[in-house]
Amino acid sequence: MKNASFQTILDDLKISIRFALKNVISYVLAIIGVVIVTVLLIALVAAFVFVPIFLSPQGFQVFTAWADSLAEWNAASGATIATGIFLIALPFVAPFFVAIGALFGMSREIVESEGTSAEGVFTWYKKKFFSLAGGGIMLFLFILGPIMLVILASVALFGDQILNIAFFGPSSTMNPFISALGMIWLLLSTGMMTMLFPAIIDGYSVIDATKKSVRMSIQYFDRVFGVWLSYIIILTALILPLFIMAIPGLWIGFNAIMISIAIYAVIMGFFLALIFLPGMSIGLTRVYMILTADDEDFTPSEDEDESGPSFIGGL
Amino acid sequence: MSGSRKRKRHISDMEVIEDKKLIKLLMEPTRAKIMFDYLVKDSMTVKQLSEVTGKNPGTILHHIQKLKEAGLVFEERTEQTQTGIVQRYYRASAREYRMGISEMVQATGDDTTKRLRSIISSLSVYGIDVPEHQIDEAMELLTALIHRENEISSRNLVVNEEALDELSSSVRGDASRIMRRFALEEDSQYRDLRTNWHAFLRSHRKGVRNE
Repeated sequence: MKNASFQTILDDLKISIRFALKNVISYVLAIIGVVIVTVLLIALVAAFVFVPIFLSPQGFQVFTAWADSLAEWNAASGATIATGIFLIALPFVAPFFVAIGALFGMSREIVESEGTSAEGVFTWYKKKFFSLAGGGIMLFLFILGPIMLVILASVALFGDQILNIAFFGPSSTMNPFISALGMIWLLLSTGMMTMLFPAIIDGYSVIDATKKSVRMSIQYFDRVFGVWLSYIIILTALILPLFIMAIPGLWIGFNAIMISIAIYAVIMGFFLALIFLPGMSIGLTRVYMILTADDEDFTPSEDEDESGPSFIGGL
Repeated sequence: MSGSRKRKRHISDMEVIEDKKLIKLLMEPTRAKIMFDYLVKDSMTVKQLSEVTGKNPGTILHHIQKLKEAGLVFEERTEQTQTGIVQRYYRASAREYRMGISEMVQATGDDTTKRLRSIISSLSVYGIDVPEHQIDEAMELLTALIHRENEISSRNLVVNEEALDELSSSVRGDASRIMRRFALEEDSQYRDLRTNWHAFLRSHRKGVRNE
């Protein structure tokens, strides 16, 4: 039940997409609602971050100087700018992840009871707001934190020029190596955190949910990474045609192909947002619930016997 | 349908809830219905609870999570259905609950006092007329009696818990009532409180003159 085989993973994918299709209307309405709330929330966060900068004496000049420094990227200031972007991004990613986490709440309802409602997303949004925001920040730190640490440690050890070599060096040497390492880390770290949101929805705190997710990804490596990688492969397979089609100059003069690219992009966009994303959240939630079922005792449950009339009166 | 069971957890015969937060938690009507009408009797899934209460599954799931966090409900087993649903069966941690009377008063304020007052007034339908100026005295006697009864009833009297789980629910219920009644009769403080309460009732029975 818990171990992965090709058939198990195929079943996981089929069931999750079937449930996503079955509840597509609820998800469409929920996603529209959640996108509106998230945009408003991000705007609010932006106001909190940027309004004091603009209102403070010489704040605007400081901000433009910082923005200009981004344009004049060089290794010397690279680490500082990367850290700055990293810290500023944190409050902005939180509302986004609350929205994603709320979808996991809907998925939990589907996996556990086969049904959900669009308004259900807002109940999760409201009730788990801080846990999901914390989860989002934790996810962000877990995935990008080590990368930042490596960058900062490299600068500390080898000097600023290491960034020039790593990111702007001859593409035939360092860049593919860095890209491959980055890709492996990205797959590994995201895979390890796949059970984070299902665990938060299950009532765990952010720290406990993180521990649980990492522990489950190690204990049930095959099932967790099997499902996660299959979603990544589907995603890549869906996006890949766009990259091939977008090769500069390849299709110039072929208007029909250009139009079909555009149509495909729109259809794929809808599919990703309305079927793939809900399907993935359903699939991961389902795997979480299967894996967290304690299987120490596999004896089938015995039905409670028929209750009869009481001979002894109540107290 | 494949399934797995949580480690066997003992369900106690009766629990007295004295934590004010838990009492407040259980005062919510849907949660009270879920607990006292269904989960004390049998394990049920969110879907089943949703069907019998007429509430949507999300609402039920939120209530179940709150009850689970409070330790009043636990996951008994998980089953995977043919359609791919992974349903969890939830069960109350006891077969019967009672609220600590003084904690109820603290948690709900006037509500419990009003309820006690109304219980005492309603005894008139059985021919027990308690005049208004003696209702406080009656409440005091009854509260002390309930408090002591809760104290004794919450003691674990079972010596073989595994064998208890094997019993049918009706036999288990009857056996439990016999033993709890026996435990009450054994307690001298309870006997005194009960004697006082009964004397009070007797003195207010219709046709009996009282001061």
